Amino acid sequence: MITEITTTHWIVLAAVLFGIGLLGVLARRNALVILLSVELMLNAANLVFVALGHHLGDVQGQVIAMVVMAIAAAEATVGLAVIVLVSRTCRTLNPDELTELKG
Amino acid sequence: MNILAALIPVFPLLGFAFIILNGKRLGERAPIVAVGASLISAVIALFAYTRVLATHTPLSWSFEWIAWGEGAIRMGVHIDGVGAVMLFMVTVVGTLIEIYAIGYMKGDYYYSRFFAYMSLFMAGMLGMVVADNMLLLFVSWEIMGLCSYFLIGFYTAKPSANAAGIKAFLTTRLGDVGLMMGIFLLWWTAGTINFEELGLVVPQLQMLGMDHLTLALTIAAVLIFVGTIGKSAQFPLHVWLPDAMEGPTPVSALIHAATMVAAGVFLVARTFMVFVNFPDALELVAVVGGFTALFAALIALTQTDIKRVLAYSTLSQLGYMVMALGLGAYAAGIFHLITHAFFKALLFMGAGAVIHGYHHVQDIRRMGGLRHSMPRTHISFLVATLAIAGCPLFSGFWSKDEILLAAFHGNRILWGVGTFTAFLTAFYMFRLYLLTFTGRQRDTAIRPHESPRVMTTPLLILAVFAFGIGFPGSPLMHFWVQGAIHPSYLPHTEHAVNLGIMGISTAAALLGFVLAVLMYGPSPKILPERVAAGFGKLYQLSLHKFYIDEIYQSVIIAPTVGLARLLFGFDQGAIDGSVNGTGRGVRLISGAARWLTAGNLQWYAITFLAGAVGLALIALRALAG
Amino acid sequence: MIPEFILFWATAAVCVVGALGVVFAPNVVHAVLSLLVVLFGIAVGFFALGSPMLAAMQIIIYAGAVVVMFLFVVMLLDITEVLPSLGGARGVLAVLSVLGAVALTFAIVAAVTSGGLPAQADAPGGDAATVGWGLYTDHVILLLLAAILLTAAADGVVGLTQRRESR
Repeated sequence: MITEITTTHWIVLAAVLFGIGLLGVLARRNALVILLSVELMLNAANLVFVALGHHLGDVQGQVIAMVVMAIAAAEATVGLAVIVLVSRTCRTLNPDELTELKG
Repeated sequence: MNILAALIPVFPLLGFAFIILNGKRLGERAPIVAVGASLISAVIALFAYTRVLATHTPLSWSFEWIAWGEGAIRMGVHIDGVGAVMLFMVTVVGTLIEIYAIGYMKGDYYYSRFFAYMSLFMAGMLGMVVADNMLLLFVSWEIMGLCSYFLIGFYTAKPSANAAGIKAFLTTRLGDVGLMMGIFLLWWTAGTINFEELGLVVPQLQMLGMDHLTLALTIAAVLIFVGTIGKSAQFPLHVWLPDAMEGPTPVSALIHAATMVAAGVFLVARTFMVFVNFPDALELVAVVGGFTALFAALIALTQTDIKRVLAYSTLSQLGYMVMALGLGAYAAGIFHLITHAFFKALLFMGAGAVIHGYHHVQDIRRMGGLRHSMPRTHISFLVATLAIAGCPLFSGFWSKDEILLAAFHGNRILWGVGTFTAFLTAFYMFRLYLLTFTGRQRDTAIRPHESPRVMTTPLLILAVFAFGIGFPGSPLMHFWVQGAIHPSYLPHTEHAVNLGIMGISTAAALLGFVLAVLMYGPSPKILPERVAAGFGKLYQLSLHKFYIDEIYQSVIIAPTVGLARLLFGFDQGAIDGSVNGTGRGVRLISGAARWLTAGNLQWYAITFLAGAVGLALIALRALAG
Repeated sequence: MIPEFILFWATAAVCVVGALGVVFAPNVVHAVLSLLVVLFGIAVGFFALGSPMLAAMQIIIYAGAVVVMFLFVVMLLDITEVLPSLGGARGVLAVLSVLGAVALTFAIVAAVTSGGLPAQADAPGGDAATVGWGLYTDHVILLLLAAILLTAAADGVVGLTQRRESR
């Protein structure tokens, strides 16, 4: 169990990382940290893809992981732009205080 | 020329549009537009009817209005003999009354609006007269009804005027529904609603001798007559006309005496081809007319409001015309329509001048001796009274006599009713005249004055007509009018003089006059109170208009209102209750659910997560199972 | 060659510590740097799972571009204030979050361990050539979609910021 590493080990690790990221998204009150936590969750997901791709000998796992990476990059870009704009107009990054959708 | 005839109703319509759009700017100048439009129409009409009457050929112009596979509806104008004399009457009387109204309505807050409505009414009336089909006639008919409603309720601040307007509108609407169904049935049966075509088609259908066709046409005739009952205020839909006197007096003169109420009679005349060969329909017309004539005259005996006496008199005279048509005396009925329009308009305008000069008092018991203070009004009113009472040589004499002659040959009972009504008419008209203009003024607090020239001049012009308009239809001129308006589909009728009948009706009128003088003259021999006491219950019946309004109130209106209340309660309780209950329930649920969506993003994420965990657990169960 | 199990546990430890750092670091700069640690750990994991190319991309793209971008924004906005991470009036929310995260983690773990995985494939392929082949033949549409997405994101960001400035 400790010395013999199976795919399940990697998936459990991914699940733990995912849970920690989720906690960050749910509980933190800084938009930037929430974004960081989302990145964490995406990476956990990637880890699962790659692990299962390795396990099944299928290249699809890596391909999807690459696409997820692209999506993550796009998400980070847009998210950061929004954060920059929000912090400029609202002078806060606390999502609790951002209750208005008007600019 | 023919297309010009189509423009006759257009000018008043343009006048209406112009006044209603520029009311504030026009102000005191509004009557110039209205009277001007009427005058232009009058001039065109003059050309039209002189040509029709001189050449004896109808004037018509039409265009294809709606075309479909099998045929087309044509829309246009058709002026034949009866249309021509109607045009003459409507344009002359209408223009004179509009001029009169310049003085009568002076200072009214809605001065320009009044003339706008009058113009619209003129457009409707002229449109109806020149229409060549039932559809255009019906549209014009409804325009008139609408104007009637507007003008009865013209004094909007007066609740009784508003109520009277609504009553008139609703009551005539009953008749209009009948007319509409009649038009549909006629269209369906005869396949056309063009008057000329109907004149050809209906006799052919009649000749086929098929029972169901005869039945359909008879029903159509009766339904059209229902329209007449509503518009011409025949029994049992007569109740609106006396109340319509709430409107300004020029309106009473134009709409509720001379033209619109006579439109019902004109309608029967226009569609006479449908009636003429169906004895059942004709008999109904005659009986309704005769009954209304007598019934209204009986009520008129005891009324004390100057305009109401005249209103019941109008009912009675309209009954005369309807009776004449029902007896088949087409020309006599129309002839009486024309003469009546002149003298009744004159009577109303005289009454208006009296009211105007007597500080808006309308109760004849408070008047008296006005001949000194209102000489011009007095003389014209006297002429009109003589005309309606049937004094020889005056216009009413000739036309009434024709009708009575027709009744004598057609139906002796109706002849008796007509003659008795003539007696009553003479009596109540002289009662009105004597109480108003002779004797001593009974209410000395009021200082009467003569009306301005702009009002009295039309009175005097109309007085000339009221005296002389009967001659063209009299034996002295060989019944020229009757010949001119005789429709081609009717067989030729001989007009003769029956001196006996003439003598009896003159005697009846004279009797009425003598009785009126005895009761209301300078030195009364019979006291009206004793007569009233002598007749007892009958007097009360007449005074309360035979309780018709009360009967309608308890038999029709009260149950209707009760049912409406019931339905209202059901609507409020059950239907609105369930609708509102649904709304309230949703509000309650959504109020409870609102805390779920308070705008907190992370709270959303947690609920989302809860769903995900739930799904994962379900998946686990599936895997384990 | 390091034994696989040592590699795994070391990677796991680094990743979990880094992840906790991301979530709980009071200073945003520290959080970003913790994410960097996690990303390196995951890159090692990729390598161990026979995906060297993905491991390289993870380092180049994530560590090199995305994290640098985060740092850049942190500097730009000058976010140095220390925000309370948990607690306060949001205690209930925080507790619920922890419970939810743990529950989901256990659900995943339970699903993976109870259901079991299909048998390990004989030839676990995954070198650069195979991935490239797969990416440009069978999954070319995915690739194109990703390209479009990136372009759109780049355009969108330019639009977002520029419109703001022109006002």
